[in-house]
Amino acid sequence: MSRTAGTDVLPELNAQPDYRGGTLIINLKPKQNNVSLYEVLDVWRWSQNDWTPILLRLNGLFTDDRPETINREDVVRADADISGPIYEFLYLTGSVKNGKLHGPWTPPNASPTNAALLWPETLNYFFQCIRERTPEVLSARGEKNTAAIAAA
Amino acid sequence: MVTTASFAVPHTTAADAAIAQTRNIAMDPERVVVTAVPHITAAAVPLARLASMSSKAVSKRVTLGPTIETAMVYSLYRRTNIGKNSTRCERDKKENKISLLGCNNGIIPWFLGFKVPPNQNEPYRWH
Repeated sequence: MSRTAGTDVLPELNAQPDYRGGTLIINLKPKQNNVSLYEVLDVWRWSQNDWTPILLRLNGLFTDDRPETINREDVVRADADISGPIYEFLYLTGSVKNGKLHGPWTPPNASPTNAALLWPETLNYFFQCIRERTPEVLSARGEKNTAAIAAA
Repeated sequence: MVTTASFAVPHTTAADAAIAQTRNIAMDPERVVVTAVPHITAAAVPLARLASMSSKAVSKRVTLGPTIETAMVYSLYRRTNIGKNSTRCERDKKENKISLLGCNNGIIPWFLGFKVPPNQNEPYRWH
């Protein structure tokens, strides 16, 4: 399976003249020497009670790799060297009301305790998204993969 | 998100500047830092605007040393396939740092703006 199969971010960017052919990449640890670059492939959101938890599907282009041979401006990766799928939860202050965006749509202030809280309905929705997009992640095979990685 | 090295702000002291340079951190004299706001990039938002923002995105803090925070930076790259099994991502020179979140400049809310049905209310799921 292509690592971008089913992505929603790339077509969305492609549909905009300013972003055509573009892709979103997160430098997850910009203050560290090692390189952590992740490509954003999917974004799911659930807006309720003025909050919007978000689920990102990422591909790890570089995951805490040594920087010596990496050009952050021009990244070339073989599919076999890309790790994923990787999922990340975020949440934002903001929602949708009367057909319009409501609120600032910003993350909460930095805090050791500001992780996303997901109630069953939201968590189920996100699990369903994961299951539909990457069924292997929540399957026995996914568990096997995880066990193999842990053993290594 | 904290200010970054590309944020051209004068450092408070030579020592702070040296430490900040070593750690790839930029600082400002009033210790105004933006916390956990990955959508705001240093290059995109002038200090004066940050300082005047009333949202929780900006907080003043009193510290004696350089401020070190985790930060995420979102960038736009141009994506091309090389053969069948490789991908090249070249940083977009024009839009090399973008906002992911935030109602004014965030790319996610911007995308969403095209999709929201009229009169849509909570709860609302999107993809």
